[in-house]
Amino acid sequence: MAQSIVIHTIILFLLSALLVFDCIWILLKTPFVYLFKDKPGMRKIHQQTVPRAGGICVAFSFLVILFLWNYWAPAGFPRLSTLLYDTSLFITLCILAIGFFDDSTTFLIVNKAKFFLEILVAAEIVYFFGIQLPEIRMFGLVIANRTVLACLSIFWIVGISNAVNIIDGIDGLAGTITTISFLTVGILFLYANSIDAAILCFMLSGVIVGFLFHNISPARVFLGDTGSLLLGMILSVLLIYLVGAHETGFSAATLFFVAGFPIIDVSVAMIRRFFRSFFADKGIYQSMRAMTVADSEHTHHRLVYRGLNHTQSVLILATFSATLCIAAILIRLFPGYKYFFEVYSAIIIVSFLYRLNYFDRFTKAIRNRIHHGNKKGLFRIGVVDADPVLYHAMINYNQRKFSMEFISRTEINANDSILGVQLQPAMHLHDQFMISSIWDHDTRQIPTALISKAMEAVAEDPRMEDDGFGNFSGPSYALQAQNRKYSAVLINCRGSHEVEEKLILAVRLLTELSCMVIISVEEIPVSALLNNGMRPQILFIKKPFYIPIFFSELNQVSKEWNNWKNVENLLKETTVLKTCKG
Amino acid sequence: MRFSEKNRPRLLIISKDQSVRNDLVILLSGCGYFVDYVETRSEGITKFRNFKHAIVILDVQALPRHPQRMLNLFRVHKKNPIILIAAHRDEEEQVYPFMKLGIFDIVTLPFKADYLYFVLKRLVEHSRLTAQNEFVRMYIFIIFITMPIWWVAIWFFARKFHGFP
Repeated sequence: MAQSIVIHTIILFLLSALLVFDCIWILLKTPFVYLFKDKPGMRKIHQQTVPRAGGICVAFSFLVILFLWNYWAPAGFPRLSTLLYDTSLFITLCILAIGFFDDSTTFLIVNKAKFFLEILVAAEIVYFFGIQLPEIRMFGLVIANRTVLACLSIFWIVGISNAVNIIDGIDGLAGTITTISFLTVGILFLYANSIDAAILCFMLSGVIVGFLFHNISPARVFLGDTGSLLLGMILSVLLIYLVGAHETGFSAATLFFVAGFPIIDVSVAMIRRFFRSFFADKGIYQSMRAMTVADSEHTHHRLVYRGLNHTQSVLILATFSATLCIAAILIRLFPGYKYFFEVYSAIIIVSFLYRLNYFDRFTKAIRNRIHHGNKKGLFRIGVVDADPVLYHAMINYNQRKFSMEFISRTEINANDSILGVQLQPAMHLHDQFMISSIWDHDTRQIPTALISKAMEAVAEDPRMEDDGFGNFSGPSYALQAQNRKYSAVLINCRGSHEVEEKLILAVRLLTELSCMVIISVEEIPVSALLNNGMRPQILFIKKPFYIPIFFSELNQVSKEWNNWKNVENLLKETTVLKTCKG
Repeated sequence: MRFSEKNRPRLLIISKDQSVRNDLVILLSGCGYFVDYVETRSEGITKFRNFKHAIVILDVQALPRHPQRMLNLFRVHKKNPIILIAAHRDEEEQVYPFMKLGIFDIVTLPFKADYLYFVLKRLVEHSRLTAQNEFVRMYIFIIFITMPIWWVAIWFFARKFHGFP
């Protein structure tokens, strides 16, 4: 007996697949197909005009098979229960009427009207046919109020049907996903001893398989709104029926996982749109409105934009969906391990979404926080007189810590404030010795003009206080460091003749900005090597230097330099000479 | 180079120069590409929005002064279109600064058909391999994370139907 049922179910499966296949094949040969042309457009991925008549063929074939099954089924083969038969008929006819107008190019139906009609159909299913969620137990809460349950059922039916409609974005996706879901629901019905409902599910998957032969990439026909809404609505109704069919408690996670992929895709899209709008300062109301605005950033779009073709994308999403469906069956089989399967499936979902860069906004924020601390952005480095080689090397080096700004010596001379806030030369008196100490040892030239200028500025600075012993104290280096534009300045010497000029510039930058100054030279001046008493602010690096080592050194030193409290202490330490040579 | 109907890359040519357009259309349609051609860049962007071409061949004259915005528009609608620039030899240097913005290569005018075919073939091969690599990596990832669920399922059915412990 059981064997004959299996054989007849397989025959029904093949018959429905064949009927849909032929129905579409005939339709594509007729001029009737021009009523349903779907032209390529901004949000669409297909490149040629394809008819959207698949759904109508699916609905028509489904009706035919339903009649055949109900009236001409062989003896001993279970008939479909009246409730399911009536509901399927009602849904198919209603959706056929709504979808026909939506799919055809001749007639127009407004989206809001379509949505209203869907709600109406769902409400009739709930109130007239009595298919609604029996009771919900979740997180210790029990919802048993019939009105609330009816509303939730309507929400579930409309939500799933629209979700299936939304995932119908690339060739064969909606068909494959719903086939997997119907097969899973069929298996779950078998465990609940509802043989007729199980056969209905297998028949429906047969219908979709027949359609998929025309819909796999490159598609000759699309499912259209008729097909996707029909399949989504029947799936959602069967899932509600499934809960009622089980006498024992039924896990809500099973329902969720069977229709897992459409639900995840739509809910993630809505959350993404909300946050995108919310972070763009649109306000909560506008962000809520933005949740329903269509875009081309769904999961399947992301896969296609990565370069995958439609078949590959469908394969990946089908594997994902099949895993969730298997998890749903395993939850039913091993209720004791329910939490394990639920948690593991949640991990799969999150890691899949992470792989598709859905958490980019958050990961970037976290990465920035780790790299740059909470408040600050990139450390800015000024590079003075960079030659093309240094420019390209620094720009192309892959690092996230520093941002470079290239300036020339002439620019600095022309505009004093180019380095940011023009600070008073707030120097301690002993800075004079620092300057002179560099140049005392240098026999060639002493920048007396600079020293005298600096000293004049110190004397005139109203913020300076004389302690009576010739020592001035003023605004601390730490204060200056907070206002500075650059964390460090790299001065490039293009030849030995430029060293003196660049040293003067370095001293000036040091005193005005109190930032770290690095001079890249071909030969480190003897004075700098000899003078251990020199101040530590000016670092010399000898050319040629390795860029990665340069950045790692800079990273280490800037950590100390950007801790503002330490700057003053650091300035009093002895000279540090760095040669960044590997 | 021959493409099957299924894998025919769609290609967009944006050039004000009619002779360039004609030459390119004849050359490329002959070897199996699906070629669209327009005169101005605004037309080109509209066309691209609708058809998401795999390859765009831009005349250097059609580049705006700041091409970043235009190239971003291409990127918004298809994340990795491949853009070739057709330029005379003396205009070649204008393009180098923009190579970072997503321009794949420069083809100098007048065209040498063999070289153009070679560049396009290399380009299609490159994008195919990139996509294939992406697919394999993605699939391995999916298989890897879903493996425990499948193991449990296989174990269950093996136990049920074959008396597996």
